[in-house]
Amino acid sequence: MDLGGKDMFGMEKRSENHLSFHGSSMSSEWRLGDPQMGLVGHDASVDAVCQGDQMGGSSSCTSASIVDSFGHRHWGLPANSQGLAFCDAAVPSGASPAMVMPTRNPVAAPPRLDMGWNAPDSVPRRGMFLQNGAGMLPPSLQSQFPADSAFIERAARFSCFNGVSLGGMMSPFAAGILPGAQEQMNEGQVGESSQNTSMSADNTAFNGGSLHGVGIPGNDSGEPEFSGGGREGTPNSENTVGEPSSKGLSAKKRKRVNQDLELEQNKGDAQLSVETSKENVESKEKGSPSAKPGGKNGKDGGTDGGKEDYIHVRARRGQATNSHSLAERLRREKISERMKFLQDLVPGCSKVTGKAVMLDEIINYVQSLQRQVEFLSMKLAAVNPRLDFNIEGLLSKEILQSRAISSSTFGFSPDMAHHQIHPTQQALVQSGIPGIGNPSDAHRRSINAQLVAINAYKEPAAQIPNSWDDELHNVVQMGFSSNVALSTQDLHDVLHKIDGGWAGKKKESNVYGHRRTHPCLMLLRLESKK
Amino acid sequence: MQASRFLRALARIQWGRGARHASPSRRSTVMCGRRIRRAAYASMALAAGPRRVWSRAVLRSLRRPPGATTLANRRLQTTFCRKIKPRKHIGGNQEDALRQLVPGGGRMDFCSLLEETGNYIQCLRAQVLLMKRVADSMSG
Repeated sequence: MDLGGKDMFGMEKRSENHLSFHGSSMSSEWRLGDPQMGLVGHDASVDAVCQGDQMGGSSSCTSASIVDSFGHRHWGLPANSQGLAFCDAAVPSGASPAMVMPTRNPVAAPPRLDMGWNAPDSVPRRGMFLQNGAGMLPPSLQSQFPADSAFIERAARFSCFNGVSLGGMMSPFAAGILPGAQEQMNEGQVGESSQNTSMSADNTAFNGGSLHGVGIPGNDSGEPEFSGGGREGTPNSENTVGEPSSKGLSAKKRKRVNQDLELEQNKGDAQLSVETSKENVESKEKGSPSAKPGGKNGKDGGTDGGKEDYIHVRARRGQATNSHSLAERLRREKISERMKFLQDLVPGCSKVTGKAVMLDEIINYVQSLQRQVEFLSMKLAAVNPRLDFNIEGLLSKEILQSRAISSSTFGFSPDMAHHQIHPTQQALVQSGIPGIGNPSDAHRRSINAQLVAINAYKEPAAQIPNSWDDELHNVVQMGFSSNVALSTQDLHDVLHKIDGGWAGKKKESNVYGHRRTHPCLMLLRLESKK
Repeated sequence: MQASRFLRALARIQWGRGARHASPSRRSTVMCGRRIRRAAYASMALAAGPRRVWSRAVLRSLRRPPGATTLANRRLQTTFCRKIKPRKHIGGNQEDALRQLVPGGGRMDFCSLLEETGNYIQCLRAQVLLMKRVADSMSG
């Protein structure tokens, strides 16, 4: 998986850079691919080869090693030599960057030819390409390929791999091996994504077909294309390709890959149109288990289909894709996400790092808050008897204010309400103290009794504080305005009015024949028990 | 929240009236304080809604007569309640401490516990602010 991932990454980079189709860019791509492919020896060698080819470095030795590794690894294809031979003819002309640019199609041809050549020998899938590529123009290709025979050999070999690896995320190798082919492939990919119209049907078809494994038509994802290409190939090739990369693949991904492969195969066989391939690639991309640039291998196959009913996780690059570890990772991510949220909540925790310290801080904060509640309740208890009438004014003010506030603010915004209420509270208290006094208490008592008697509340808890506010507001207003004991009927009316709004808000229907006890009543009853 | 605040105030008014008759002795103050605390928690839980595990746990504990949930009862609850997770690990002192702090924390996995803790902290903070303002307005 790592290998595939890195390859994908490198390939992707190359594909992206290939848009410019510059030799320098290509070389830079390869250079980019180098660090990515660092893990994989042959990848690096491929890149080195590419660079060498371009730069004329000592890629030959590396290429040989790469080829050996390739052959040893997945292919061991005798046809490589054939491909190499073919490449020899085609490569010479493809060295120059210029060739890469304008000769996109022709450049693509050689790899196709190579692949087609080797396909019958090694990969049936390549055979598909061969059919398409058979019509390629060797002469033009030859003119474009570099004259490095060694490079050509390597390119040929890798092209074979490309045919197979395209689906199997071996594109990086292929890209490295066949600079021209790579470029073309990348270009093809790019062309596919961007404008394949310019490209010949064959080229596009070939690119599309080859790019199945190569990767995304766009520059965005070279990997999926590669994986898709691999899938296009025979299951064998895919399996072989997927084997190294499948290390990190979960069983699910493999299944998905196979499915995609079959799908692509069918599609590829039917028509190697760019669009088709694009679609395939794109569809595969999403679910492609192939290593993405990020090297993410995971249960991604399921995410695309979206048919699974459980959460799919993408394994990260370089991480195990065992189902257990994936679940563990998901759980860890969830926990870290919650910890971040808590970090924002708890003051002074922004600098703290580490789960243990954060947990300590959270525990301390919760304890301090609970102690504060206790302390404030004691304080209020000490203050309350003395300022009983103040409570009435405070209450009414709060109700009046909360009614206006609740409509606009919902949730934990008591501060706002407090701020708005506080200035008026004092005024109300001062004005209302004389008149409130006992009558309010008696009134409230009667109200409570009536409310309690009115309905039997069955719901566990209030769900819409706004409704409570409205209800209480009405009740209190009635009490304050008239300062007479509310009749049961009045209360009923108020509650009915409020309940209607509440029910509408709550989307609940008054299933009970009688009025439900409001949560506030429940609380009142709770308190009345004392 | 407003409703919770309102309910709290209402409840306080009720027993505050009763306490007014009696001389504010220390014990009565303590009793009143306890009532206020219960009212505060009840209003807080009611405002949070039934969707929260901690709010349901708070209301459950408040509805039961205080002192009914002894250790033996807790064992009984644990036996019949399938949701309570057995604490396999002993090293997670912080986790256990947090579970004890947050109401209803013994029945959740760590991930949900963190979420509930966040919500609980929000509600607690709002409640504390509310009570502060009420206390300030009453004493000021």
